Amino acid sequence: MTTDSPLLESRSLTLRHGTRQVLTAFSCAIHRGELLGISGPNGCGKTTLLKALVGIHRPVGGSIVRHRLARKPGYVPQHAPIDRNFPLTASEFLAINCHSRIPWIGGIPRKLRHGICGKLDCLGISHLAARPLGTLSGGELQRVRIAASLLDDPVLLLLDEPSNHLDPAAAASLKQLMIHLHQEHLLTLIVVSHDESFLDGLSTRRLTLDAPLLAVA
Amino acid sequence: MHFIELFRYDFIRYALVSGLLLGPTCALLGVFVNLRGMAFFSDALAHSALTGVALGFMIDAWTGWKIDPTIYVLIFSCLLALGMGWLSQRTPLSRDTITAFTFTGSVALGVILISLLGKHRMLEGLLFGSIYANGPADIVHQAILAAAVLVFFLTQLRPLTLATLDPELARSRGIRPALLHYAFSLLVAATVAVGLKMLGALLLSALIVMPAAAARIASSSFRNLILVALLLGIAAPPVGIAASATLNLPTGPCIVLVHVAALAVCQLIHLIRPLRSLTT
Repeated sequence: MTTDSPLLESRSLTLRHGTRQVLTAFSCAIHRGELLGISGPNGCGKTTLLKALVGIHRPVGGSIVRHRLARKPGYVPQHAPIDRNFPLTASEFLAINCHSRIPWIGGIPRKLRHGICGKLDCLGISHLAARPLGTLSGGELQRVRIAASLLDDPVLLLLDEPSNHLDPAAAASLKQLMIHLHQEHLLTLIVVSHDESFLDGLSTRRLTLDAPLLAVA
Repeated sequence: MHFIELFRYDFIRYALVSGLLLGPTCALLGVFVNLRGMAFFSDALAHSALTGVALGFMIDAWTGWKIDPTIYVLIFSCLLALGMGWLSQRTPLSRDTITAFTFTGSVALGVILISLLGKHRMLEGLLFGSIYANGPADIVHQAILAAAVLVFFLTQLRPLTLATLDPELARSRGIRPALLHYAFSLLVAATVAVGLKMLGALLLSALIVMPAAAARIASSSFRNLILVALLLGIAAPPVGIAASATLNLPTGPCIVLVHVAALAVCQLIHLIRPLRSLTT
């Protein structure tokens, strides 16, 4: 595999969500340095495709080829409503996202402190480190989740509906952050969004999925 | 009776060691029982243990074996915990509903079996337990359980926390939330089996749920949650035992009331804290 090879390539991918087939024989390649925006109507299989690309949804047909640099991509799933009373600070959230064998009993282990503080710094959110997750605004929480997805210094970052539940100002600020990550940190990004306007001026390439045929398996 | 004098008696010493082993073990498990909304699940397992004991008596009566009832309760509770987990993934029913019918169904079966065996007097012991009935063999069971829970938490605390907060994110990090849920449920079932003798079915779930509930009110970080829960888990049994021995009151309820008092204090602090920040 050469350096020009795609970071991620789906070959004749067929995906099913429950009993419904959402994508059939879908092929696509993502190259280094791209910012790919994926849009489409509800239920067209955007999230299922992203999960398959991350490796947490098994395709029923076809294959996904990952470049060795994209073995461990960063992933920010669709914003799930979290328990606002969950007693976890932003820095502890990053600590539980670390791939590390260091035992953790809350707080930030000394050996992980540098990495965690570095990521919070990089995203300009070090002031949120000691704040409980439940007290963060939607935009702040999304930045913390992105910081967590960058802990392993991935070259590829996949985001699912990152602007969901954000007000226009927070969504615009998030868009700027993504452009910053793409241009300054040379990250390759795949962004799924049903909101076409969010992808305008953000993506370097756009992919629009069609509504699926209601084929029941 | 002076508090120090209590330690002259073997049964008090055993009760204290038992409390110091089970208290923090239950508190640690309780942190995730609370966070995962499994308080009813642990309560149901504790009550269903009646059926495990009754089945054990029947098996012993038929076969002539003399097996420790804790073993029967352990097997029954683990099977029940696995069964509830399996059902929750394969029916459209909510986890709460599954727990409710498993709970009532197994308690009904247990009471019928106990009635058939003619051991009605045993019911009181199973429901309320007796910490003073602990012997060296029970202490060994409790020490093994405490070690198992400690090892589980030292190795799995990070993935378990992430799987509890955001299962989807956990899956993307190579964690298997369903497997962790089963492992955690089995540990709760084992704790119920081992702790039944100490507090009985009625009070056992209080030992699991209450320290972590109080800690959750008092904590804004995960480290504090763990530390406060452990502290309450360690402190409540000796205080409850001392209160029970000096005031001649039943021990299990005394331990539970210590936890209730701790929870009330934490809630009070939680209510007062914002008021104090307004006045300063």
